[in-house]
Amino acid sequence: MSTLVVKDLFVDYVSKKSVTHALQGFSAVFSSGINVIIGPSGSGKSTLLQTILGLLNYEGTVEFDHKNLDRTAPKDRNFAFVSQEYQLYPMYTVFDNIAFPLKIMGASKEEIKSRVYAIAERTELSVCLGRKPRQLSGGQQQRVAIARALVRNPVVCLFDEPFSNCDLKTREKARGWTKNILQEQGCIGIYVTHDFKEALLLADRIFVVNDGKKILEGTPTEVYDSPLPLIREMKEASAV
Amino acid sequence: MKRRKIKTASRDFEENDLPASRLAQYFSIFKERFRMIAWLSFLTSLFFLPFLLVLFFKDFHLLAVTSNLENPDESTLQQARVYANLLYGGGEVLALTLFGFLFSGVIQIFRQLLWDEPIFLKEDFREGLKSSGLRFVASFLFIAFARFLTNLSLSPFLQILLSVILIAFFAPIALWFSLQSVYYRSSFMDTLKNAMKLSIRTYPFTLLFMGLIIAPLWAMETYLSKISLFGAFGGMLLLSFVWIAPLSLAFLSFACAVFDRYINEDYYPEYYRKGLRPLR
Repeated sequence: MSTLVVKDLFVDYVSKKSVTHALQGFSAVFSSGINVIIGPSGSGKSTLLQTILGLLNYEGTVEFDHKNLDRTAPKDRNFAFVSQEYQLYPMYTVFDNIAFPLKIMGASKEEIKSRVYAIAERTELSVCLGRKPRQLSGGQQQRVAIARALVRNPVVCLFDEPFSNCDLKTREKARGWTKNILQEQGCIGIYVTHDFKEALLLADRIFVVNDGKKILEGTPTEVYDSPLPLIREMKEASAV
Repeated sequence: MKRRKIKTASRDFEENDLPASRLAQYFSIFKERFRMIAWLSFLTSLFFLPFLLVLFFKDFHLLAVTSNLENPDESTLQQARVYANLLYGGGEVLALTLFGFLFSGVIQIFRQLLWDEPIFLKEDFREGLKSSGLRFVASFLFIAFARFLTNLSLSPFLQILLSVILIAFFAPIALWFSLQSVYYRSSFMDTLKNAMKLSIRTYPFTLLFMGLIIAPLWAMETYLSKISLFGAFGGMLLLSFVWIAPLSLAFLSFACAVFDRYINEDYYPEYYRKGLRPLR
């Protein structure tokens, strides 16, 4: 089973007037399945994702399967990222959007076709492959973003509140097949959300973050039963 | 950098949202894949350029010869035209055949658009040259050579008569012969037999399409060149960019509907209405 280990991560945002300590010694072990990171706004969740991707300067270590990634460029880590803003290419069709990472990798036409058709089948996008993103609903566009992330079989897939722009019904449906696909792929999923209910429904393991530090870690049941004030606040906010 | 926000539809795109007819599909492709159409139009005009250049040099040569003649009669002018046709005819035949060969690659990409299949520009273009290039060469070579022989007639009346026979009879068959090769792998004789049947069944539309392609180009070369040779050929180049490719896509879309009706429903069900909303 693969593991992603982050140890003693420190990330600071430095401006002319101040220094913001976004991560303050964050450590965690993420294994296969869905690892949900939850916390209030500004707690360092998105910063953590960007650090794991290698997009920020940091102190500490990031290791995948005991291999230190500190000197590995983001493009060489085989990590995929899905943000809440879809970030699709509007001039490309759905097929070309999903196929884009494979084309960058230099895959053959036959391989691209078979892998894109396979992932499109699983994300219910087969009928949309010839369409442009603007012809799709928000939920479908997000599915395209997820399909594009997963098509190259990443070892780690990072989600930054991917369904926050979708309506409730779409979100519920999308959570279901995201969980199924990640389980089928067998990769490590790291999912950031501020919605406690979503965290409980989706997670195999939950990591609670506040002020750049991990304050709690456990299964959904363990986290739900925690007496911490922050957990109580999140329950009330999500009406759980 | 300002991030461009993509519009979102109000509901999921479903199978029922696919175009219901080939006509609806044509307009949908034109709207959604306009950049692809523009790029293919550019390639088409590039492939057509050698033929235009040969025509240009022929007309330039003719202009130079006739302008040196004092009060030439019609018979002398016709002789000068025939001589120019003889001199440049070989080049015209080669250039038109080359255009046909390269255009088969463009038609392959059009087929992918109509079938709603993914497009890999270089690979699909090469695939088109490999799978239907030879038949396009055969058709265009036949038409180009027949045109060359027609243009050698010393009688203007005979020239016009032969041109009409070529356009009205042989060209539609050649057209349907080439188009079938984009979709099917049949023997030469079967393809030719089908081409004859299909050209009879679709005669008015086929003639209309050929007229729409040929008439403006012929009018520019025949009449506009008398006013300005450069203007005429500039106009023909522009026409080859804005007209030939979009019109060819329209005709291929029509051809898909014809193939669906007469061939695919019974013999190739996997091609029947491919790219369209399924019939319930």
